[in-house]
Amino acid sequence: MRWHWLLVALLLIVTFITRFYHLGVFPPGLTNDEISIGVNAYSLLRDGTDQHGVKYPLWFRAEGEYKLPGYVYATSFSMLLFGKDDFALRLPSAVAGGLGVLFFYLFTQELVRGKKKEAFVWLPLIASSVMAFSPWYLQASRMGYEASLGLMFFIVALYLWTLFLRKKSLLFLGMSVCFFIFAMYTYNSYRVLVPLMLLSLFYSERKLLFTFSRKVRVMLVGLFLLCITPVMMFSVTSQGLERFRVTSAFSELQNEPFITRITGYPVVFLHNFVQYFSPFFLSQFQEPNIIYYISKDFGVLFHWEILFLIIGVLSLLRLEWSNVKKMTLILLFLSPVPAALTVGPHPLRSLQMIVPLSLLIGLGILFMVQTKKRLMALSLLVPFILFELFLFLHTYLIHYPILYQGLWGKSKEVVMEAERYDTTHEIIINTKILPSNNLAIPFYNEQLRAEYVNDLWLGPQNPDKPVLYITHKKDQMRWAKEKKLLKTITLDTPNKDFIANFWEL
Amino acid sequence: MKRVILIGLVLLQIYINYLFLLCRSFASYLHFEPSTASLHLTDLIFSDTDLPLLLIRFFHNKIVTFSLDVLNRYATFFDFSLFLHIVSPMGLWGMLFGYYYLFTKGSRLYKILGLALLILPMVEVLIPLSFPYGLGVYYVIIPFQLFSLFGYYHFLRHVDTKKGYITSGILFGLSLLWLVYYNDSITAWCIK
Repeated sequence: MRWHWLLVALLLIVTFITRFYHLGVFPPGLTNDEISIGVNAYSLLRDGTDQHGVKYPLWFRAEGEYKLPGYVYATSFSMLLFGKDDFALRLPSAVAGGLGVLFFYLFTQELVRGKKKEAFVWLPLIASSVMAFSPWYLQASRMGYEASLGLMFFIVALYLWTLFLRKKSLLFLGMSVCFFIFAMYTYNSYRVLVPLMLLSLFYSERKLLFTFSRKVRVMLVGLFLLCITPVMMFSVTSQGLERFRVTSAFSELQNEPFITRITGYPVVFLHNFVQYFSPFFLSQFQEPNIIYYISKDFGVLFHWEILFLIIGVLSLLRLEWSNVKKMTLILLFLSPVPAALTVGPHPLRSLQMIVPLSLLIGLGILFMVQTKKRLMALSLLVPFILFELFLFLHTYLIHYPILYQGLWGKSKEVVMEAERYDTTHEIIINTKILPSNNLAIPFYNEQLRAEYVNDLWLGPQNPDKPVLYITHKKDQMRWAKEKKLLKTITLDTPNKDFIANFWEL
Repeated sequence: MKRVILIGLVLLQIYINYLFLLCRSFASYLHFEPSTASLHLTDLIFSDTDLPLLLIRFFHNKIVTFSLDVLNRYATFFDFSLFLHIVSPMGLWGMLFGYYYLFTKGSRLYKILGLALLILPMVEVLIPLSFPYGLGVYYVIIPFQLFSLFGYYHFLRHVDTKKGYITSGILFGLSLLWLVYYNDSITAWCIK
């Protein structure tokens, strides 16, 4: 058993290293959503308001949606410790990615506790290793997005639920529900998943729940409803539905007659739902969500994991009815539901699927190492597994920063370079250069004064100062007769596409 | 009644076959093409700058790139939305139950046949132009449809009669709606 704990410690160390290694610069650049979170988080830290001046808001108005508070407040705390930069912005996600693996290990350990078969002792370690090295989870926990933090809260809630089942203590039940609620306030998917999950868990353990007195039950339900009322009320307002309206899978049916809509909804849902179980989705990159993948050559799982997944499903079916089987099936069928309501398949909205899939892959590996012909099977598979792992590392470390840099933007470089001309020039920036409604400048440098122009520019405000115009290479400056190129920022891609030209007008 | 349900499923699948026979060929991304894979390989090699040639060749060579390409195209066949087109939602349920039945109660021979069925699409991936498309429909689609009937038959045999009828009613309705709403999206999988 000492070996076991040593391996767990080693796994956690490697997990955290893979999350923290060059976190601020890799993935290269910040996306619109990350910048939007960063600006709000810093604004909160500075004067307790969001970017629009609302004091300690529960919902943060962003471009085309309202962001949930969990990740913004977590980033605010991270910025308090590390300052306003890319690393601090991604830190909560990375920490959650590492802790998620730890709590998943503990959760799986609780699930298999009391199992007669000795081999099950290894399931927590195998399944959490699968989770830790999954390209899907790794990428999600290195981006400054809410999905990883939401998933960690969700896994902690599941772990506490299993503790409640073993110890039958109200404390664990209450804490589990609390963490489910935290997940709801962190990422949109859990606004749908948590109520469904709680209903299923409560139904499956109704006998245990009915052992508590009526007063306690009413109090618990009342408290839960009280806590989720704000998020549920918000979810039915036009602001709360804003994101869903944009991403809804049913938007094509919106203008159809009532009967068409009613009959169309289940079919569209079925179409989306089954896609999340397809080897096609699991093994291959899906257009157009390239930033959530590490490359076009990898899907959310490794190819060899699909084989173990199938073996895992078959061995799960043969297992006797137990907590492992019950929990895996509930998670497997509920976790893609939020994503299936939106256009997809979308790897971030379905990230919670990593929990049942890791369990199933772990079961598959466990089954394989127990068979009589394991030596033959493993000698065939291990070279393939090792090769794909090395290929993954090679792709992630060598190809990814070069080929996909353009997708992440280079706003930091543009702003830093513009700073150099701040005192001497009047700066105007083409809106196509910087993402997220021009939030990149306030995020990187609040002092920098710049005017944003599209095609119309009314001319310089101060005729004595030269004008620095930062624009995309492709943009033609019809209104500038004489111009001088001061600087060009390029992407380090093989085709060297320019991203910004600095013209002195 | 069970017979009526199975006949209903057969009729659905005959109509599906008719839809597939209106096409000229399966979509090209289901087929392995050495020239496309070679281009992809060149792309990968050019992304590797400042690395030893041996290392570049270790990761990016024809064996690796071609095998992964074949594997990816084979996995594309197992997009469940394609299976909903091939066997209908009711048939997909039958297929899933069929595999469940095979691996929990089926004999060794049935298990081998069930696994062999999964290898059939590989023929279409690897040698697409060797057979006429019409034949492709028969060796790729019909075995899965027959298997879904086998699975559905066992589903009806093993499940409580009332539950079986209710489930069948829902699935049949869903399958009809599927054909109404996703009739045209078959063109994502085959070229008309």
